[in-house]
Amino acid sequence: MPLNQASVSSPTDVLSALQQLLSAARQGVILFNERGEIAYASPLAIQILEINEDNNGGRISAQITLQDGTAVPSLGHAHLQAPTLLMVKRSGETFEHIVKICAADQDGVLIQDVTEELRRDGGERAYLDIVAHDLRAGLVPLKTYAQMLHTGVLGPVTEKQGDALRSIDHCVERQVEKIGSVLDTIKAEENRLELTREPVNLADVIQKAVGMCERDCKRRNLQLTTTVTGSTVVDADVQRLQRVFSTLISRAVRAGMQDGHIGVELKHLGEFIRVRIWDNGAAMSCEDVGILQSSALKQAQDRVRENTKPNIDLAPIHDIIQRHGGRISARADESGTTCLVYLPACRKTATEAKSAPRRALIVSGDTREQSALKNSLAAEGFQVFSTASAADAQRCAREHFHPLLFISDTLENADIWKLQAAIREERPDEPHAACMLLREVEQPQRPTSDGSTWLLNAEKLDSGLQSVLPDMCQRAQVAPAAPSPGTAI
Amino acid sequence: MSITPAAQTVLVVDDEADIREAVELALSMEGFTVVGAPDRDAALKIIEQQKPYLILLDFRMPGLTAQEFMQIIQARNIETPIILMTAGKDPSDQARELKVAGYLQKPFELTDLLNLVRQYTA
Repeated sequence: MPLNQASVSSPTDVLSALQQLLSAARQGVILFNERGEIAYASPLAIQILEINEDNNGGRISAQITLQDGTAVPSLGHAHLQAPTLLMVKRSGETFEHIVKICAADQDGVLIQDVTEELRRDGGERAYLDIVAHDLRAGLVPLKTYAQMLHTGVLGPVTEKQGDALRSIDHCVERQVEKIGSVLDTIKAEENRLELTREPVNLADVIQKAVGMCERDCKRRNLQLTTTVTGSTVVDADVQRLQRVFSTLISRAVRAGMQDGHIGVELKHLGEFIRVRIWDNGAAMSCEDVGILQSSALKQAQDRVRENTKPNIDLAPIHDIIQRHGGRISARADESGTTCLVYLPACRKTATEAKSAPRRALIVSGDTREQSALKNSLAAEGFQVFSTASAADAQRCAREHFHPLLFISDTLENADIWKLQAAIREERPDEPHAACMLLREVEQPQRPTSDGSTWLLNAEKLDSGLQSVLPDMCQRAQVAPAAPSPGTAI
Repeated sequence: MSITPAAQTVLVVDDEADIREAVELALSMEGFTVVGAPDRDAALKIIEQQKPYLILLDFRMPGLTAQEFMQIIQARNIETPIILMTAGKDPSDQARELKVAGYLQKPFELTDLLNLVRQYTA
């Protein structure tokens, strides 16, 4: 059902519309009835008491308080900072508005309708994707020829030529990182930055980043030392963290004085891994410190307007770290610059998490369906237990089988979620389970806000299973069957 | 009977001549027989006539999407493994959606290209 035709005439319809809207908006949703009163507010926990539409500039002003009557909440405020989908129903017709807070004080907030702006941005985004595609593709011949020449298959290479070829390869890497940084900065600004996480040893990431800077260090006789204390496994988007640390370390190298010193220290501190990158070179500018410590697109744009060159690599770092549940700070003075990055430590080692058993529990009264599912999941490497009895399934799941995936057309949604929650509570150290519920839906849906449940149509099981299984495995933190670059799938 | 690399034809489909030629050279230096095609018609002709062991396919070419190419291949019951070469975002999603044998994200490492091709021609 298209978003702008979501019907809210009955409680069931409201729920169904909300499921779609929540999954589309990934933020709060507020539905209004025909009198302009709130029909439903999603987990934002806010109420809009009064709405005054101002035709001048398409602005909507609204008074917002918490449901318990307290002042403008920082929580609701924070949620609405990102574009929020607002469905307004007038004279039987539903209008879709995308709004965000543009000003707030003790009396209330001013909400700006950004629907048109975002539609326009949608076109710009598609254009940007094509530009990024062409920029990356254009680097293929450069990289391939440089690497081929370097291997010597096209003839002997002198030491100087080898250096030059390494330099070309290095520049290509940097260029790819810059393209990624620009795209991530824009995604972060639009709250669209999505991470692909897996358990990763941060020490390996740092080592690679250090390796990329070794030539520059040698050239300038800089001493670069790395120390690692304790386990440094984090649940992270490897490519993005790689980019973050390459940027921070290479900045330190660029700032380094002849014969200077750069230190990179990783330390496990309770719940966090701390990465400290320091140098005794030229201090990082206040503007760059600011960019590292806040969401940065606006600051970067301001610097362009002021005719000063923003460091595009630094721009998305704050958001990437924040998305990982971490934080970053920087301090710079005449003695040099120190950056501190904190990332939540992963309880499991990378190897342990990757080898988590893949168990699936099928609860279905349809034996044909059971057998088809069993085959599909076995082909994906799952151990499968199937039963038609809900009681059996519950006992088995809690006592010995502990499935990563529940699949059911028998259990009620509420029952399976309760079971899922109980298992999570009993076994907090094990990967979280995900559910697949077979219901009469046209397309696969994700009805819960934590994204751990999928609704699939039993009639379209084969295609549906393939489309959701990788996401489900990722949600359950199972080693994904998804391919990594350069590998077969 | 084992097949020598020289007997194994790899088809590279990419409208960008610079990219196509770089990949062709890299593979031919490793002993593979490589043929290039800049568009759909040339690619299909080579597939019919030379029956390549492996196809390296650009994801986005003017006038032809990888999806359309895959549909044509499937309609003709051609089972040659296909490796997607893409500079787009979310390459693993694209690869999974198209059910191809593997993918390479542009710009790729030379060793990744060679390893993946060896895997399918070994």
